[in-house]
Amino acid sequence: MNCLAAESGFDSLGGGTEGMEADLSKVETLGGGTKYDICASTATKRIVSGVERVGSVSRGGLCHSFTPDGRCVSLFKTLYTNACSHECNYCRNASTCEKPGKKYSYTPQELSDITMRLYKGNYIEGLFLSSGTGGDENETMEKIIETAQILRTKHSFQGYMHLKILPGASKEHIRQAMELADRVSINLEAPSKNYLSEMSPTKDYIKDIILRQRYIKELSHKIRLPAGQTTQLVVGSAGETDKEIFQKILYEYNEIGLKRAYYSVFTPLDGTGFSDREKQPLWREHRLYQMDWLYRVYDLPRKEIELAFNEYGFLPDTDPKMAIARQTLDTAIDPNTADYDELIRIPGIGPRSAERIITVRGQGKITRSRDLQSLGVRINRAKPFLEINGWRDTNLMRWLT
Amino acid sequence: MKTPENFIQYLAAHRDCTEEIMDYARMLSPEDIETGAEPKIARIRRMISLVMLEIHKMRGFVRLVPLADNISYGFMEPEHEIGMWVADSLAHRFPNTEIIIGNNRHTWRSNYSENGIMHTQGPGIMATIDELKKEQGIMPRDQTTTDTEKLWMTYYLSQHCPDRKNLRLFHKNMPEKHMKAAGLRMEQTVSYTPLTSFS
Repeated sequence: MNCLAAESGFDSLGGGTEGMEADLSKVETLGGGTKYDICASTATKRIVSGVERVGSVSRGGLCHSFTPDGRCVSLFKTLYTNACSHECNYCRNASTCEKPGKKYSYTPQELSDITMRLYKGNYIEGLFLSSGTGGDENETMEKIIETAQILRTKHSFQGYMHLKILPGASKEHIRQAMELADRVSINLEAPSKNYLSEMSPTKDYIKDIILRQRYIKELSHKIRLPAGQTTQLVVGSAGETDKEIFQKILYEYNEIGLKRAYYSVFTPLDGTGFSDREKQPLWREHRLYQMDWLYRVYDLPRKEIELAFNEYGFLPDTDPKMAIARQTLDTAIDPNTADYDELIRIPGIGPRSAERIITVRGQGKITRSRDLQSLGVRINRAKPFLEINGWRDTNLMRWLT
Repeated sequence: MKTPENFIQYLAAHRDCTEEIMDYARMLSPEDIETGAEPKIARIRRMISLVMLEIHKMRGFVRLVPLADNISYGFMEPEHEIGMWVADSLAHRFPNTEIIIGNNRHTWRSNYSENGIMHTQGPGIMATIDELKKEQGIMPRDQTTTDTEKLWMTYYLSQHCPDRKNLRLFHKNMPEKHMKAAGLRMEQTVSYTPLTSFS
């Protein structure tokens, strides 16, 4: 650790915190280093039993608070260290950043103690541990693993754990992390090698990232990873289109066995290589999530979903499901006769409400839009596409953008 | 939320539940509740959903303070009769630790050990804690609590991105009634602080 610290020029080495006040500047800096990591999910299929333990997990996940911007705070999300040898042009922790802040690092003991304090106070559901590379990615991976081991063994911690795999980490370190975590992830950051070379010149897209994702996929045949493998992309820092991002993510779902993808719109940060680049609108991230949802949850075919892109491969700031429906639903649909696949394509009707409509039809005919509303249909969105009891609401909603 | 098999228990916990509603609900199956379009059924579905939502929120929002090595307590003033659910859930999370949650009027105590769940209800939480302190000679651990609160607040504020400000979403996800019910002092302060304070 001293070697790693000296190499990285840390301002703080940390120390034990049991019964002591933690270094709050460190907590603030290393916590803040993860605020653009979007994943807050804590849903896991792991089953916790027995009484010789501390903690448990929730099958559907649990939020312990929300940030003033509305995002779920479920995990103690932190970097192990903010020292990094990479030169990512979007990141404040890059070695090339012209306005580097103080460099900090935890020790495994210190970090596990802080995690347990917050966990026992019921402030968090578990730990999300990411990191800069420090002096060497494998040495830092060892520290990440050691932290997780202390939690699982010394503290008998059975709460949720999401561990980041650092780009270029060894297969053995990946294996060890997978044995301890509910979820592991390695950030893809960009949809292709060319974009990544512009964003992070020191990272090799294939060798450092895709190959590691493949290791995780291969190892998951032997090691159960209850919350699966995920990834995250920075959206819009290098001119990549939404369509390129979407297509890459479909590849990841199908070829890498990814559980979820997360999107974080690019925000230019002072002192970074991309500080003068244009800030991307938040809605871009939101629309990508909606596309993702149409693929994963609605199970719509790729070709149909791609109708939402404009000719340049970008998504306009409108609901993609509505945009697709306007292009594909030529005739009004009768909820009394439509099958599940037809219902699911109507804006305002989701998988649950489609199932409810089909069930309720067995008990009697749907004759009023109010009936649909009580089944969870967002009727103002759905009405222009429906014919109920021979009646159609042909207002302009359907054609307005 | 999907209607569970034991929906009757959730319905009974709703503050506005009456015998008439219960009698009607007993004739229904979870599927009936899930898909029924009648206003009466829709109301029952909403009542069940509100109770389940409050349990879910409180499981995450209630903060625990250590009183002794194997005793932790927290404040909760729920709208519905959900105290025991939350106490049991926290006891399951922290086996061999007595969980005491409550308010001025009620206390729900739960302990999960190899003998299973043992739970009891009692009067106001301060009376319960005072009694425990006397019985077991427990000294207060105020410093640890303050430190953990400071630690949490530092971390919590570090997660805020001013460029993503969305107080409407914050209030939707964290309604004032739930914050109040869980006694979330810090988050309440944050929600009323102008966003410029976070920049």
